[in-house]
Amino acid sequence: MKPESEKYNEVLNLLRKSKPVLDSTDDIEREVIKRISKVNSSGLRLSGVLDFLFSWVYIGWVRRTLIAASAALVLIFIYQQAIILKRIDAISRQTVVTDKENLFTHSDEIAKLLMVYRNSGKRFPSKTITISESQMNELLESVKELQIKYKDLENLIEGDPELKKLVHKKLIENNNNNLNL
Amino acid sequence: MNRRSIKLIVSLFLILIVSCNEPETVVTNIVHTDGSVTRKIQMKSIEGDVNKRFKVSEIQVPLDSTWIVRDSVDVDKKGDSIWIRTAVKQFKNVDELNLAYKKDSSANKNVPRQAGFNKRFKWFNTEFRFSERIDKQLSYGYPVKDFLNSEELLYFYSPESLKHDKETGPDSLKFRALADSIKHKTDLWTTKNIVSEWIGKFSDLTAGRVGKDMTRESLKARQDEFIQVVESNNAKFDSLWQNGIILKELIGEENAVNFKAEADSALGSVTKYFLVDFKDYSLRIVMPGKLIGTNGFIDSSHVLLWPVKSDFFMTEPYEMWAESKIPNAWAWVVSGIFIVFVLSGVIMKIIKKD
Amino acid sequence: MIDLQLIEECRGGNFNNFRKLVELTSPFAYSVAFRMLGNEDQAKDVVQETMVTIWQKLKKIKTAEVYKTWIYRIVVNKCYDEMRKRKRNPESVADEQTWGLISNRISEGPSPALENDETARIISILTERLSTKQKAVFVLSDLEGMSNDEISEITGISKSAVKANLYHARKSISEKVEKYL
Repeated sequence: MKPESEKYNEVLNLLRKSKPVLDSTDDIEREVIKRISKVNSSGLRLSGVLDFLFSWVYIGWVRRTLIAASAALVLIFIYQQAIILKRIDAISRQTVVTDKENLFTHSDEIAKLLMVYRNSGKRFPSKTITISESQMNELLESVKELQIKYKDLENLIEGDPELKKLVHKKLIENNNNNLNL
Repeated sequence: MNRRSIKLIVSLFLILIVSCNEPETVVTNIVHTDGSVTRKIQMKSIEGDVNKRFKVSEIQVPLDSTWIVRDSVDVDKKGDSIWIRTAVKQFKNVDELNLAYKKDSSANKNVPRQAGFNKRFKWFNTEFRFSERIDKQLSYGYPVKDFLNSEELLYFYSPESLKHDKETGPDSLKFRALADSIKHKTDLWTTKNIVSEWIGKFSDLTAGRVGKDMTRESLKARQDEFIQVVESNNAKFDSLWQNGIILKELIGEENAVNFKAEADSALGSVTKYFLVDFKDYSLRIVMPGKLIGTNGFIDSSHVLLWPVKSDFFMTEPYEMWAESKIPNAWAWVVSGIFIVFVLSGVIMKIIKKD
Repeated sequence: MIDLQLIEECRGGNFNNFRKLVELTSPFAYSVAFRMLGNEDQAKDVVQETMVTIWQKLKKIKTAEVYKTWIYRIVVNKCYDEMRKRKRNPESVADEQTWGLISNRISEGPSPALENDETARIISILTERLSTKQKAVFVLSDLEGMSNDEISEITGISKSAVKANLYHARKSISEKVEKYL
């Protein structure tokens, strides 16, 4: 059912008959040429180069192929790097042999380090421990130093029987305290 | 020289085991990206006699006149002189190194060793793998991992310096107990290997000519019994074997008579391994780029280290390997440019919707 | 008539031929723009911008038949942009005078064509309540005489949507015409 009526058609005929008249195309031409010339001397060249470089974007299968290739490259990169990082991390946990000292990264060594840390008077939350890498390195260096000094002390004591007896006696006396650290 | 004595092998063989003229040797392989290897041998000796010091027949690895050799002297804490010989040679590739091993006239010439190098291009990185492998000596032995747990295995393969420090360090009691446990288990392992090898060799020699009670499977099933017989006659093993008494006890009188030659041959084959007095040394590898995998120990200068001892390749090949990677900078750049280019195109298309 | 040869020459950067193209294209572009916007200056601006866009994207044209549809599409889109800006500043329309004008012109019988401003006022009052799309469809169909297929291509909406929009536009205008005339 058409809503148009006779009056509607008359109005339309009036409007159709009265096509808008463009008085002169010269002004439009002049303005357009002026704008085109400006763009030509600067941006159009760049625009032309860009269009040339990126014309492939409008070809569907080329665009899809290149996007897929990029995505594949990114995925391969992430996968490779993840595997390598995992392997490097595994290596960092392997035993290190030094000329004089051995440095272990087993969990019992970390427990010892934490005990030293605790005894120094610091406090840390019961379930989490946050120590910076440099602090850890400092701790490890201190433990190494102490180990060397302990050996020297041991040798000194071994060499002197009287001193050895005295130390042994003292150790027995303090035994419980040491264990309760 | 750290050869463990074997109860079964007495008199003549024990003499051969106790010889300590070889220098303390560390071999360093510096691997380059093109597969060439700069090999450096550092030997330390306290031998006063210059004629006996660094004899080629006492050295653990191939060394000849094509090497650049430099000698120096040092003094240890006790005031004793230590003579140090450093030899360096550039090998173009591992094939040259393997050729040197084939032509080896050093103390360990009877132990076949082989190096391998592999380079894999993986676009963003190039991965390198270098290995030195020593083939197993016994054909019918048991892997040591069947006798030791993981902690013991790690300790078993550790360098001597590491073991020494652990056994004299703060947890010395624990590690000395561990060392004792390992010694006990590896003694048993060695004994079982010897018996198993003999059974294997004997079965090879008598294949198809024996009854059901003398097949490899049936002899293997009686292995523990064999070990008992051997251990109980340990003190006079040699003479008892020569007289055929032990053999009779193992396989019966008739078989002992019929297959004496094969039994002797099998025993000879087994002892041949123990006659080969392998002189221990240490191997180090320096890989190009960043290390990503190894089965070795990492020392203080971040160089990989392996002890090389006869026990390690008695029943299994001993492979010392390391892998590293170097990023391919040009591939990263090209990939980055490509991805940026594609992204730019896509973004431009989205913006320019007209 | 615009032919492919002229377009090809313009692609080569020939300004003179492009002037000719502007001369041929401007009138019908102006007709649509004026009927949509109802303002001479705005319509001329739209035509200028359309011609600059045509110059920049001439390479996309493959046939002369496609050219006309493409130009209409650009004009209509630019009119949409203009109308969106205008919504923020709605203009008031003198209703009674305009209805009077329509009524006089219809009752006069055959009469000369309307002036541009008269055309603008009439279209404005008739399409006051129409959405942008409905107005575009009405102008292209009932005033410019295009088919539903062509309108669908120009506006980017489906043929059924074109029909629906056209129906609503005609209904709205008819109701107004019945009410005020």
